[in-house]
Amino acid sequence: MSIMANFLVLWGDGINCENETARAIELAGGKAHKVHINELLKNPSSLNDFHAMVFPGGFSFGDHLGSGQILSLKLENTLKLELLEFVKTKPILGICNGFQTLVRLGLLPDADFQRTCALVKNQQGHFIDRWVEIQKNTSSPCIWTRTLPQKFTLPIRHGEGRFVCKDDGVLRNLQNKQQVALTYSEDVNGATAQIAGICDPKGLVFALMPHPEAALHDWHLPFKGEAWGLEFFKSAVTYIRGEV
Amino acid sequence: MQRISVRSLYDFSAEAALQKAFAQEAPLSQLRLRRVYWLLEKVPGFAQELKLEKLMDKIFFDPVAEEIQYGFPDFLPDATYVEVRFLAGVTDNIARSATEALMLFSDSAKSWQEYGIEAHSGWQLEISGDYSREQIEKILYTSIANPLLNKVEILPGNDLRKFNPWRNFSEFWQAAIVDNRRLQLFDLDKAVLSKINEERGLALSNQEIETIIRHFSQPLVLASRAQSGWAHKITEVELECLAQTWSEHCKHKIFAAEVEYTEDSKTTPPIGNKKVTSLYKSYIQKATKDLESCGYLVSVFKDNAGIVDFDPNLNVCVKVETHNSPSALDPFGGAITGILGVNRDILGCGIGAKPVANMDVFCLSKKDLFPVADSPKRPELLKDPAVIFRGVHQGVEEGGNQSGIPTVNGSFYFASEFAAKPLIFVGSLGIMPKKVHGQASEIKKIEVGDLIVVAGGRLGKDGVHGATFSSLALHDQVSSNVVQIGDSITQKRLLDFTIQARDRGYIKGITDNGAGGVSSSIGEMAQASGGARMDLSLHPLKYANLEYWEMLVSESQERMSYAISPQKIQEFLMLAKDMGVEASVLGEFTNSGIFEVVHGSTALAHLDLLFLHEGLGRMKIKAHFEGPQKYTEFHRENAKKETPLETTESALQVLKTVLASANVASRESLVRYYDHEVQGATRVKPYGGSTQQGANDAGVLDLHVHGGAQNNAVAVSNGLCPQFSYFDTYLMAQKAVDESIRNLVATGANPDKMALVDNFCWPDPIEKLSNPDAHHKMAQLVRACEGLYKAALIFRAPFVSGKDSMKNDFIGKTKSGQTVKISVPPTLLVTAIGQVPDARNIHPGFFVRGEDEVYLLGTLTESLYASVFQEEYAVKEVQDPEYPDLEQNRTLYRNIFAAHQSNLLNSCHDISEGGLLTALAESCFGNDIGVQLNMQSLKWNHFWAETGSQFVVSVSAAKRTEFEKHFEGSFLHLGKTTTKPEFEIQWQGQEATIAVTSLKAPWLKGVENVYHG
Repeated sequence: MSIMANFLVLWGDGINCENETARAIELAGGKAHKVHINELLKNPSSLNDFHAMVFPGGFSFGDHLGSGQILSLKLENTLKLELLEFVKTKPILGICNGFQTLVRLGLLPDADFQRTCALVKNQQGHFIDRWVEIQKNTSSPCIWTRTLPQKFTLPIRHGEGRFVCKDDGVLRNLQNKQQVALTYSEDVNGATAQIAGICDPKGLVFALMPHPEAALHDWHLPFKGEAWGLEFFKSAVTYIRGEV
Repeated sequence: MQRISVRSLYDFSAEAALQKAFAQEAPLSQLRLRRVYWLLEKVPGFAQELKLEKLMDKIFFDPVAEEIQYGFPDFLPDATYVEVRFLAGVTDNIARSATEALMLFSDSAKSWQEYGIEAHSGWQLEISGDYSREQIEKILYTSIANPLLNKVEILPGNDLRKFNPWRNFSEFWQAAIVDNRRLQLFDLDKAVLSKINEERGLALSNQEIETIIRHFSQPLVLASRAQSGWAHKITEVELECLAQTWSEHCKHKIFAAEVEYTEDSKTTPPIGNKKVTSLYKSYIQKATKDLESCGYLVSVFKDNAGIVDFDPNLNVCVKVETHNSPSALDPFGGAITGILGVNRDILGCGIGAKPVANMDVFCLSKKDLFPVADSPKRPELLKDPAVIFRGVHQGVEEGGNQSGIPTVNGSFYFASEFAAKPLIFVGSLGIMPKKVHGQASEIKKIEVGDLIVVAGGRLGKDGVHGATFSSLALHDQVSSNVVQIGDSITQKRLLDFTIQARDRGYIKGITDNGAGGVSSSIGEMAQASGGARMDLSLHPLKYANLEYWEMLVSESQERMSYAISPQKIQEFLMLAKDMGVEASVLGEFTNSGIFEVVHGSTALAHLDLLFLHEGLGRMKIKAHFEGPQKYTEFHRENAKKETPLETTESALQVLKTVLASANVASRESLVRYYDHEVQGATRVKPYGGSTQQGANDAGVLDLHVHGGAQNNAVAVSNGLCPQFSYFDTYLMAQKAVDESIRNLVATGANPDKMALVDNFCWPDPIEKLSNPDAHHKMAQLVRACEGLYKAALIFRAPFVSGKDSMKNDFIGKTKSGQTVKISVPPTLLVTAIGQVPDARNIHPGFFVRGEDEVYLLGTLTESLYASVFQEEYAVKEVQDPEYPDLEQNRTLYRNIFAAHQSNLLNSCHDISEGGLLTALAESCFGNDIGVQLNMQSLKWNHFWAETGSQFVVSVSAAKRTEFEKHFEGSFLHLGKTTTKPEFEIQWQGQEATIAVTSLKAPWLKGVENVYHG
């Protein structure tokens, strides 16, 4: 019998996709534990009880002072050591606001608490909800995208989703180390190199702007087609079962 | 006082919009916009202790994407500088979050309000160009500032170099201290109370003042008040409480009135002269009572929202509100508080329901229907229509998106008469498990001894008098404290907390604090146990300078009131604390028959509950229907186009014009600002198809995702047609119901399992000097109710919730000094929800493939009354509109449902604004499918009429026979779809073709032009 893959799904303070994210994990065969931020911060070592951690989408602290900014400060203040330890061996996923938070925390692109990238306001200057085609980098070490096809569609739902790097060196490094896990097939928000998702060099920490948890069933799509969102979570469950 | 400012290195969208606006006034060489933060030390030495200097970098900016400036810039001598700040007491959400961020580094305070540093946020502009103060203010007041909320400071760089008065102005935000808070007592004298009524804008009528005097002069009441020294007096708190409880907004006096209705002898259809005691009881509630046997009504009219049984595991709740007056003053703030407020209505339903979808409908004016800014005809005070549009749109966007609630349905409707009071309808759907800890979730069980608890935001002056204010016409004189700003994050925490508390069984009763504040919420909940005693000194304040009465009626947002048993209170408060929600016990529910309000040891109010809620006499209103009235637009800048030739080629040109018209054009680009799929349950999104530009007719929400049965879903749609009101509101109401149901049916909902919500927005029907046609407006209300009642009965669709807003008028002055009155047309929004028993059998509102057969379902009509065609072109004579045959429609709608269920249809689209050709073109847009149409049997007017109840459907060629048998007698074959994206039409022996993209392009742009106006 395979072991139960236990995922921590963070919620509270304006995160708002925790339920569908937990549902996706369960549909993928994992066990989702929704843990309120304040509960986790009261007992930081409880992080060790989980095999993986997910930062769902939403508007933590209303995106005030920048999306993900205050949440990342709140986590860094109390949970920095635990997170540093966690990322060494365990998968972390950030979706949308979770991506913004991980970048602000400096857990991406290199899991070293250094900020070298940012997610800034869409070139259009406003929030956008639409389905877009995504391409997978098959050479990426990302453990969250292993079973996905090369092309699939997901919805984007963000106002601040334009990925930018501090300088060209950072971008080149990302590309050379195959950390650019996902790109948009077309320019949807002005992101550098049409980047939709990145991972750390080991492929454990991964984040993306589109919402895989909103593409679980074919009926989620606004047109005829296949839903691939569940594969992200299945990939992680498979990885965890193999590792443990 | 520290000042820092931040500017993005990537995002210049706000700056670019301002640059554009300034460049339109005069040549602009440069404009820079910066976000400013001011940090004030409240506790001396605290900043140093906190090492604030070091923290600022960490908290306030992103080194990758922004640059930061400490203090002031090096002022350029030739530039002009502007600071935009919030006025004292106005909610500043960014500052609140900034304070919370600072508190992470020293959690010495109980709450952010008590923290040693006070933060404020605002803007700085550096403008190089020749602009007057007036020009700068004008631009800022239509973009990033509002005179009711913001202070705009403007100084030339040269002056600032010599002396900078912006270095220290910390007293600017200081609240005045009320040291001797005193309870005022008023004599029970008509002259005294009338004066107070006028001065405070309490909106009490003479009759109501007399009722108050009579009640407080009764011997028993006098005796009971003698010991507190209140005999022959009323306290200001009591007067305010009565005014709020009895306001039109809260009490719906017009709908409860005794109406004497007469009509012209020639009126068709006649409803007969009659006396109606309570329109609400005689029509709305009666329809629901008559339909009670439908079996799916769980709780109707008595709670914050209507509750129906559409699922074996879940109750579904629905509520729609309006927020018109607040949105006229501050479009963004009005709309966001509106949407957050209606979400709280859902949250306050039963023992707490979870909002799962939002809906929004805006009735607005637009640029070419409103006098330009410098026109002498321009009414003072009123905002630019596009400013209102952008504000309300962004308000609903922020409120919904930040709360994590998908916006699944809505519409925009444009007419000149909505310039003064825009109608902002905001709705929400909710779900709750049928049972929570074995208790039925729809039942509030408030008992004597249960504690009164309020949680969420704090009390401030914001929204003081909202309920009474919206019960008056909008005048030039408005005090700024009626304006409120929503705080989505405080609300989101409150929502998360409430659902947790419910699931743990802590909540016995709950209600929203909306209009009227705790005066209203506790006053209402007190009826369950038979009394309440509440101490206002226990309610946390935003700032100290609130008077007693302000604490009671303040409508400060994001607050819920709860009834919690003393056994559960500790756990309840602990959970609140853990989840970052402030909760306070204010008192307890009693059975004294009295609503008792104190502040510490000071008694404030001692009101008989029965008098408070039932003491109001019935208003008597006369109503006389004068027959159809000619519609005269309030304003139109450019004359309508000349009537076009009736040729095949011309039909396509007209179609392009109609598709581009604001009431037809695609809302897609603006709908994409709304998250319509968060929570992962949206089955039918507003737009779909491979182009994602195909319009769907209703939103469909999966219930299984929320704990309901597999493939079970609920659909939601709306119907609204105010332009028919000038002819007959009976027709208008029936059309609104029919349209809402048509939208549901087109998508695949079951017409035998539907519920309706009615929202009336009327011009004032009360007789007074400034209102010469009051009797007609009241008669329009009676006829609308009659039409509504009959439609509900024919469709067997009960009303489960509703609301009315009866004072949608503006009286003011134009720039040239003329008195101007703008009233909305009598408007009824019908929101319909319906069950979709098997969500696999729903179909989109647009063609899905080529070689399908295209049909029209329903009866053709010819009147161009209130059509978009007639809005665009000068039509000489318009024939009277046809009235729908609702019985016949019901049969058709049930047939359509059966066809959906057996997958006989590939697509189904309701014909509404624009008419038949518009619906056919729209059907092409979802997948860029073409169509070949043979319209030989049709007349010109059939193309454009909007008076029918029809659908455009596509059917697989193989199912043609089956389809025609199923719909025998109600279909017309129009042609077939083609993979080649061309719109081809044969008519009068001629053929004309246009590329689908040429039709789509103007359709996509039509509303954006209005938005950016």
